[in-house]
Amino acid sequence: MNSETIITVDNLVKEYLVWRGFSNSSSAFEAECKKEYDRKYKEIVTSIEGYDIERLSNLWEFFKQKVFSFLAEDQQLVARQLENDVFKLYLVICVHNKQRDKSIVFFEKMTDLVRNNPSWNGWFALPYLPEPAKDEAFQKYFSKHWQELLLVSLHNFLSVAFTRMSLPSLAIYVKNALKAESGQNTEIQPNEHAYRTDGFIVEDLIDDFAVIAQCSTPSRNNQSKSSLKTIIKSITGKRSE
Amino acid sequence: MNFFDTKFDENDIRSLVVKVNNIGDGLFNAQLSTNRILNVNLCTVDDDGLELTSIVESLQVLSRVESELINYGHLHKQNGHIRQLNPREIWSEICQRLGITYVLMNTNNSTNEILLQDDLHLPHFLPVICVIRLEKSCRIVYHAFPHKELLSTFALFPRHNFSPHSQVFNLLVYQLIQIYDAFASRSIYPILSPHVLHSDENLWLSMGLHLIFQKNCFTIRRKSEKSALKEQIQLDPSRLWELTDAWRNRAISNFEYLMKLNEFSGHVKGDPHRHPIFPWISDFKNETSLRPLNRTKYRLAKGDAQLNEQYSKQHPAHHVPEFLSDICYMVYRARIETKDGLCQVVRSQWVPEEYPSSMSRLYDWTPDECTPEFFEDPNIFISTHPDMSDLQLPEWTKTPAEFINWHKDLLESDEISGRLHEWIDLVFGYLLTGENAINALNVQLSIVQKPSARLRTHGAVQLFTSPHPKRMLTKPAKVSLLSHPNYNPAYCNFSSVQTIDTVAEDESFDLSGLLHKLYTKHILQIEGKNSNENRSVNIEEQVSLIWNLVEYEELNSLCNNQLKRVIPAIAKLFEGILPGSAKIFDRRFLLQLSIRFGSEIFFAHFLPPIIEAILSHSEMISSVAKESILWLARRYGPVVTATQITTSLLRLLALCYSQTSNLQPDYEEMSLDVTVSGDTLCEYILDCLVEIAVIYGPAFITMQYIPYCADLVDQAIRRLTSPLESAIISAMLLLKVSCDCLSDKQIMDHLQELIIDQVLFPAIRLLSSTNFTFSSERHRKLFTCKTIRSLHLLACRIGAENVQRYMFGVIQRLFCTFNLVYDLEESDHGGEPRVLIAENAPKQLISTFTPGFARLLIQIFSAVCGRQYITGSLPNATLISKLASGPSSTSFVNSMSPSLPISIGSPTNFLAGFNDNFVPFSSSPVLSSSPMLSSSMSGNRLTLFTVGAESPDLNQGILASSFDPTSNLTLNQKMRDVGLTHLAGTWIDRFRSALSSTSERISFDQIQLCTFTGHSSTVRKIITLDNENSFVSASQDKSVKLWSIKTIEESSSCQWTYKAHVKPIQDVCLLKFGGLIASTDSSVHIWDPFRGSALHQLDWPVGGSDSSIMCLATVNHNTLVATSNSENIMRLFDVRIGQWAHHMCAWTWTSAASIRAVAVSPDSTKFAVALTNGSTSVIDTRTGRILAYSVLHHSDAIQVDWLTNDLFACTHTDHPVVLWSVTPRLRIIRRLPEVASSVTVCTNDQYVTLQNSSNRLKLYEKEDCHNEIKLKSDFIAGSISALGYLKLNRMFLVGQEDLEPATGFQIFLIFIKTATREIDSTKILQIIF
Repeated sequence: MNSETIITVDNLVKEYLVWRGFSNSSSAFEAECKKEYDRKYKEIVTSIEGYDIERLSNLWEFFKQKVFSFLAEDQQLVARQLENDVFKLYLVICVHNKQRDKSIVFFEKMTDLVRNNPSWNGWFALPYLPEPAKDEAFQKYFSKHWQELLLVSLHNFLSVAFTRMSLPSLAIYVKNALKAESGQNTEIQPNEHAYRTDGFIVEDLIDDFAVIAQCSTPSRNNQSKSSLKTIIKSITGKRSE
Repeated sequence: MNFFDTKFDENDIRSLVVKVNNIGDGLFNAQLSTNRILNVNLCTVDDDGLELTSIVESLQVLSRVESELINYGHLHKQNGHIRQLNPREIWSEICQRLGITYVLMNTNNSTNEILLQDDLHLPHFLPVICVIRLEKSCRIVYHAFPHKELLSTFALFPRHNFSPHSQVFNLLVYQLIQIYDAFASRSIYPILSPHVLHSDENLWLSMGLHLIFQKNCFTIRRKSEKSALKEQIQLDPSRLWELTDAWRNRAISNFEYLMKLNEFSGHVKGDPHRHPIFPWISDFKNETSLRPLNRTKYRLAKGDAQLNEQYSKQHPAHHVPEFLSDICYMVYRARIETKDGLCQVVRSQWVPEEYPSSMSRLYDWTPDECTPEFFEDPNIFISTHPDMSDLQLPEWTKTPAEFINWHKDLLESDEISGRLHEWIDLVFGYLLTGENAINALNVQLSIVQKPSARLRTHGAVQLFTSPHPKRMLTKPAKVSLLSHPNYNPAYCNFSSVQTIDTVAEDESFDLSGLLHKLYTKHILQIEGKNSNENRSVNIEEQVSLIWNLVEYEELNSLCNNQLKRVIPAIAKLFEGILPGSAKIFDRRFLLQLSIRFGSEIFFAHFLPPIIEAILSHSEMISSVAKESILWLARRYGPVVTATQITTSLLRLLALCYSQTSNLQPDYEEMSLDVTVSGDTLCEYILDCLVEIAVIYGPAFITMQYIPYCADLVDQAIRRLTSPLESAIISAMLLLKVSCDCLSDKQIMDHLQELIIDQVLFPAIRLLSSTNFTFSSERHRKLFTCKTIRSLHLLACRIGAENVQRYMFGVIQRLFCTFNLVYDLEESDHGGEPRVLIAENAPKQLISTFTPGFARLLIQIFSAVCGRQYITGSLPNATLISKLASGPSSTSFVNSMSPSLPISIGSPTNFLAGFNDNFVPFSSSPVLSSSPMLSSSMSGNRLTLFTVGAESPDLNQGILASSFDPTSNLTLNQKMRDVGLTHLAGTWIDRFRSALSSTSERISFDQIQLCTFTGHSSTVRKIITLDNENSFVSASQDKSVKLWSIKTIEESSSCQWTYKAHVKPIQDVCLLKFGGLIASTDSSVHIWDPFRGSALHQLDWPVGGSDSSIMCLATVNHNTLVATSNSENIMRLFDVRIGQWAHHMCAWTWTSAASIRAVAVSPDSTKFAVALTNGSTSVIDTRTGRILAYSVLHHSDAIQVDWLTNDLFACTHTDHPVVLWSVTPRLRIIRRLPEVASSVTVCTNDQYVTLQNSSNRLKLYEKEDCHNEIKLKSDFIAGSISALGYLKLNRMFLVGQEDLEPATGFQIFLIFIKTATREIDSTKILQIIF
């Protein structure tokens, strides 16, 4: 249902772009449609790699508003941690690649985030350190391990978050329209498969799987049947056996 | 005659009123006084529902406004009260405003009053002569007007009749405005509909006053009235969608609904051109053959080829000329239509044989649909023409009425109901127009025809433009979890928003509401209030709330933590045992509870109160509880029953006599029949214990019940405390019942060692020794009574010889005690010795060991062994005989009289024995009353004595109590009757060791309990269900099998096999509390083991065909995590919505690694993932955050298992097992010495590693191996391929690897008992090797 909706929406958007004559957007859109599934994540990575703080912060702001707000409290906490980490990664990449001006722009741009934020204490000095990667405080952030860890977590988190998010309005319209179109298919038919255990009384469920088949009849000799003779023998005679 | 010129005076009106007085509605020629002939049309309007019509409402609203205005201007008119107008006022008002002559009639139909008005002719109003007001209705007298169509008829065909862009339409609008204006200028504001307007063929509108007063004209309803009205009319017939809904919900029948649809399409009965259309539903070939409803009858009759041909050739292109032609209409009704009519329509020549003679012929002949007559009118079959035969009925109906009933029943049947919407689509629905019509070969001539000059009044009408909804099938009465275990339709409409509430709280669906209800309203309330009255009310409420909660799916939606929070609330409910709460002891409820919370929690929190409920004062609760306990015992099997249920029962038994009130005996004297109120309590529990023993056999008695008695007595001897005193009293009762249940052989097997040495002798010691002091005499006496009673029973049971052989020590001990209490003083003058109470005799002994007691004992044992023997072998025979015969005790007679066998045999003899000072070795046969006994004595040989078996009557007479000698046999008989479920063979060994286990440590004893045969290849995985009586096994043979563990079998075959897989099974796991199973052979199948039906089948969504799903794990009861062999991505699948939800990367996707194994931690917060590149990562299930990652260890990981919430083990093919700890950071805490193929977690810190090449199991506790076992080759020939553990039962399931695949060798699953005796580990090693 969902994938069908998405395909339809994609087509609608394409149609719209062509109709309006937005040919560049249209071709860009088509190109992007063909890409792999981790687009949102890729976008963050590209903006980090391209030192595009504007794009990164806009993107994150968008996520915060439209995506993360659907999350549970503990998940939002993770979102906030990731936010700090992602921007730290940005800064680290800038510094690592000797883009000092970019890192200064970062602090100008991201004042709201970093000001009065204890986790950013000391980071203002980063662009000015002679060898930041060797500094004890920042060593960790320059390690490949940390960066990979962050990126995978980010990827997974976005995947979780976007699943939780409700569909965009356009997609909802399309979905409803599709649903209406397919009419009676929305009808739920819960009892399609015949109940194999007709007539079985649920209350008497003792052995869960005994329900599904006739119990194989026990094949043990009834040993408790003992004749009077053996009783007498056992009482009078040997007690052992 | 132009009636506009006519004027009427009062006389005219009077004579007119008289003329029309008794005449029905319709055209009528009235002769007036002036010899004028007046053509009038009469219409009657009832008062019924009058106040609901829009025209009247507008009047009332208006009058209200007026009166308010008047009030405001201080002008008094009606005291300012708003008053409902009565019908009379309404009519007079309307007539006044419209200028119509109004005649008020008296009750006797004489004219009362005439308000003559100038006949004001309004445009578009049918001219009214007068309105005659009768008592309950009004008659409107119009000038005669010809029959006219209603505007609504034309409105059905707007494309033909008036298009919105035409002048005709403008004219219509203009006319409507005129009409409204006419009304409005007279302060009347009705709402008009096309149904109240007449229209001629030029679309010239005219309005009849009577139509406005019709009920199906629109009504304005104020809110209050609306609700009042709701009760009267369930649905508004003027709204099609309401009707459709009602039909869907089965509020109206198929017949009614079809009639309504016809009505909406302008079909009226009797008009050949627009007669109501019904579907043919049967083809009348036989009783059950139905007509396909997804094609028109025309299409069925002519065939698709002809329809297509017609469509391509005809102009305009159409498939179907009409649904019901006038010819067909007439032929259907041939039997009741007139000959002329038939000749006119059908064929001009009258040939009666030409008309179809039978229903099936008629059906075959007609290309058109059916009519409602065939569903309601039996007359249609009976010919009114002398030369025409009746319409023949199908053979299965005899009379027309029968046919109608059958036909109508068929129409309402589920088969038709389920498919009727298809036919509605064709005849009234979306399949009438556009592409849909072409595809369905259903293009109607009337729809595609060009508009003609004439207005169209008939033809197909499209009522629905989208597919008609399907009718709901018969309503499911109640959706209970088990009748519907996996499918919650509510989930289907969820978007993906709710798909991953893995562990978090308070955020899944309607949960917050539910919890709120639960906590604030009910549970907190209960906790706050303690007053009993309020409680009982609340408890009832609460019980039903909890019951519902558990019965329906709602608990499913709770996550683990939430579930845990509900536990105390439910447990609390169980504790407050009140009559209203019997429901929650019901096993249906308990079943749900145990499934939801899991057996462990169930036993810990809910079982104790259930067991205690047996002693509830309410009869109902205790019987329900007892039933439930027995059911639980059967469900969980003997080991769990013994460790959980019977131990609790025994513990409860010990408490029966703990309250002093329960000890108050009926009378003071020593007797076998002393009863106290505690006995009744005891009885309930003993009942339960016996029933359980009946289920599982004597093993319970000899291994648990009697040893328990022994244990209690032993403890009492060591230190006698007050609770123990009451415990041993009940132990004696238990002993008696236990012996009753055992067969003679079983008693003899256990007599010496268990029963006598461990229970009876110590018990006698207790009651007779001076060393022990009971807390009160009463305790001691009661204990003594109960002990002697058991002793007595046993003695009777085993017979004289055995008593002499085994029991004599006990008896002697008893009698010797009298020496402590009494001194035999030789009388000085050689006369009879006197019995005196010893000086230093303990007081308690004195009161217990009374002379009466001595007498009782003598009597009992004499009855069993013969008096001679008893007295002869007693060292203190003189004292005893003296005591027994001494008349010192006043209660002597009292105590003896009820128990002496006075009426039987030769009582005198017996009594004489006592009375003449008891001569030892008396020659007179003491108990000559019993021939058997005397013979045994005279013969002086082995006595064959089985009490009750041969001469119960006699024995009954002898025995000195109300002891019923047959009781032991009934109980024993009962045991034998149900002997099929008794434990046998190795199960008994297992049972014994389970009972003797005292340590938590898992040990291992190689006992094969049961073999499960069925798989034809290596068993890959074994999963046990929570209740541990069933398990699931997955094998390389492409099947998943379901098994039941039955303690009665040594070999077992599977209950069911899931065969839909096409490749060897890779992994399997349980979902939804075991209600669903997910298994993968490369694509995952999610199926329902109870219905045996597959719910979902899914492949890895991206990647080529080589991407197969290898590994499955359950995140929570409805989320599944799956990994493939080709990617390092885990995908989560939500069973509720049946879709892949999201995915998570285990590590950067740039590395070419894929996932080898994944496991979810017990608290389901973490994934542990092993990758092919040797790295390991731990990921948060909720956020996908990598919690820890460790690079490159060993790349050959095969399995990951969580041992605790922060410890997991990773097994490798070529490397030893590695234990990883997650906190504080991911690190290896230990490498086990062996290369294992799997690690099986048993309990919290215990686990077992399996080396499948050598069949060695190593048992670990924490990090230490305390035991290593090599499985005996006797019962497992190949190597072990899978291991399962039954936690509660402490047993293992072992799956075997296929030795020679070619032979299709069978696979055994073997139980291996885990013995848990306290033996130090070195010793165990010795035993094993």
